[in-house]
Amino acid sequence: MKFSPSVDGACTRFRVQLGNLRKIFAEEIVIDAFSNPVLPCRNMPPSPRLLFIHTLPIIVACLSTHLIRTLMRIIFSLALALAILVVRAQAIRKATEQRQAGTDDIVETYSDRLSPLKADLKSNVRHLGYDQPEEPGQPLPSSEAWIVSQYVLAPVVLTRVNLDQVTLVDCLSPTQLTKTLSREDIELVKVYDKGIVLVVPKGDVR
Amino acid sequence: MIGWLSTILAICMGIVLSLLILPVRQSGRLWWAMALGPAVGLSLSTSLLFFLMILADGQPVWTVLIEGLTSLAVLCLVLPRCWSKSAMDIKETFLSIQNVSPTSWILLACLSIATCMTLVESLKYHEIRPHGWWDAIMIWNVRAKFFVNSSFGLPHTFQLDPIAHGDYPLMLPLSVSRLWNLNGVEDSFDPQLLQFAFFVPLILLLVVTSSINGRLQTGLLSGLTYLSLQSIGEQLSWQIADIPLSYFLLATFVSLTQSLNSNTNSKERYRWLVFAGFFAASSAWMKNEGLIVLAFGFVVCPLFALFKKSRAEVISNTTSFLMGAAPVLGALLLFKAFYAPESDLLTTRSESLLSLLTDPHRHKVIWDYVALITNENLILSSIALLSAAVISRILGSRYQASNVGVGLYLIAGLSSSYYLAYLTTPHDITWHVSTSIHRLMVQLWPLIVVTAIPSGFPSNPSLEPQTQRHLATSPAKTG
Repeated sequence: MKFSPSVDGACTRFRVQLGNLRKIFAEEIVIDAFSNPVLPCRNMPPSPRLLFIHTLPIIVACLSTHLIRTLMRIIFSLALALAILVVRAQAIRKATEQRQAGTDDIVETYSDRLSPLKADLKSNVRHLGYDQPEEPGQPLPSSEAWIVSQYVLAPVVLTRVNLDQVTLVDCLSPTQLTKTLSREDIELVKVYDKGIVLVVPKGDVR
Repeated sequence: MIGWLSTILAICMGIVLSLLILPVRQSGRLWWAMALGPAVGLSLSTSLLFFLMILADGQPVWTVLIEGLTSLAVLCLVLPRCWSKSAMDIKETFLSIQNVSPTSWILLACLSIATCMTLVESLKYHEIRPHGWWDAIMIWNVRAKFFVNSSFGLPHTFQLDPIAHGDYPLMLPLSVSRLWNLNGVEDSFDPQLLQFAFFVPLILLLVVTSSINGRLQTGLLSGLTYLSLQSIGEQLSWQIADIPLSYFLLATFVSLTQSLNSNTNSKERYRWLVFAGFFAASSAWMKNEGLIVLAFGFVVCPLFALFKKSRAEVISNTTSFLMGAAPVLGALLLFKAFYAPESDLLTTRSESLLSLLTDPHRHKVIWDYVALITNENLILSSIALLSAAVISRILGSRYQASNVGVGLYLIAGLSSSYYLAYLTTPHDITWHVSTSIHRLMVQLWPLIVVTAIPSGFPSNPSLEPQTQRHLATSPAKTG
């Protein structure tokens, strides 16, 4: 394989230079030689050791880029997943706390809520003629009464009463009602214009 | 028990129907069918139930003949066209578990745990208020009670004083009343379980949508990001209509983008447009807000074709969308035309519309609540969303112009409609905004997640055929 005169000349000069410098700088010069474009010189095959030394930084760089990218991907993904699990765990804790607080709240403030409501009834409630509870088993004559009858089984307690805006606060489940309130214990049943039913028990529901 | 059996039957029928309508070569068909089927079954069965109720109510037969038989005829037209020998072939659509990376397995476990935690959280909220918030009773479940025990006749039922928002559509009340009626018990837990039938497929749909075009890891991250919204558990328990609506919004978006990404004039495109029409109509059958999505679909389908300068496609796109919408749209139109009272938002206002729109106080109230909800709910979720988007980019996923475009238009359209509704509401604006803005966030959140997280392939054309073939045999196996 013949190189052009200019390349051959360069190779010769390089070999002489290399021979001189090798004694002094040993391997450092070879690194320069590898970066030289005239490297594919006939009599200058790179040794495996030198090749390894020279390509090591490149291999490390490639590996580290891939490694960093993979690690980032894994770490970020898992961190995000973990953070969301923490968010959900906190949400469960909040729900548990609210359940405890809410249940107590219903028991403690139930009677308190009734007093202002009773006062409010006179001005804001549309009277439907069911001040007294019906006899058990007696059919109720109108659609509104039917709603009342349904909600007597699951009564609704209101805190804020306003004909334009009615906010429903608590609903006791039928099970709770069976335990705490019977028909004989109901003092008043009212239907509001917005369809909210108020069941006022006699005395303390506890 | 019988009520649950009938609901499960409806869900199974929905899954079979979805398998029939889904494109045969769609990768991950079984997962798509599992994600889309339950909603298809519930929506379709309630619309058919409504037709039966109208017949029982003694309405003129011609109304049912026109509306009901049209819907059935459309179904009969669509289904045979979708039938093929390989339509039910699902053996190649199972997840190939040997190729899932360990990271994906861990993420899958985290997503499953987070989903279960959300369900547990909603059960705890259910213990606090078994009947949910005001809307849950007075808008939805009171009507279900009337359907179960009604001796008043349908028109009277919706005009009754105790029913708030009598114009709201009937998918949810009819689903609940079917359960109560057949079970013989009005259990307050039934509406909650129906929410789970939408919530779990919603997460599956998010995962499948983001995985099918990219990597499973991206899909799992999307699902996890969706669960970063703190109020989901509470809404799932106490507000029974918003999670289903968010599901239908997402399903409409997914169907539209899948059809847009299909080849022009291909059968795949028309099949996805049938789905888009069905889900858009179902969102309107779920809540009035869904009417915006339905209108959006009717505008967008012809526009797809116009942008590609294909006039022939304008008709075919619109027809496919309409065919998909017809079975549910028929029931919705019947309800709105003959039974629903006037919407409370359309009642006469004391002030002129212009003065309402230009009142700075009203704008301020809305933005104050937007800031409040951002502080309370959205900061953590936004960080999670941003992180998921960055990780997906590191994974090599790219944004797809069609997905981002449709997503942004849909989110902007819905948000501006809500904003206008707030500005012109005849109710007290503070009350209206404060009681509903949290729910609007829940409705839009899945759309925001799927739009913001990139899930497409790199735009190297030489990679696409190979990757497509790869996914066709194992739908979600890349990690």
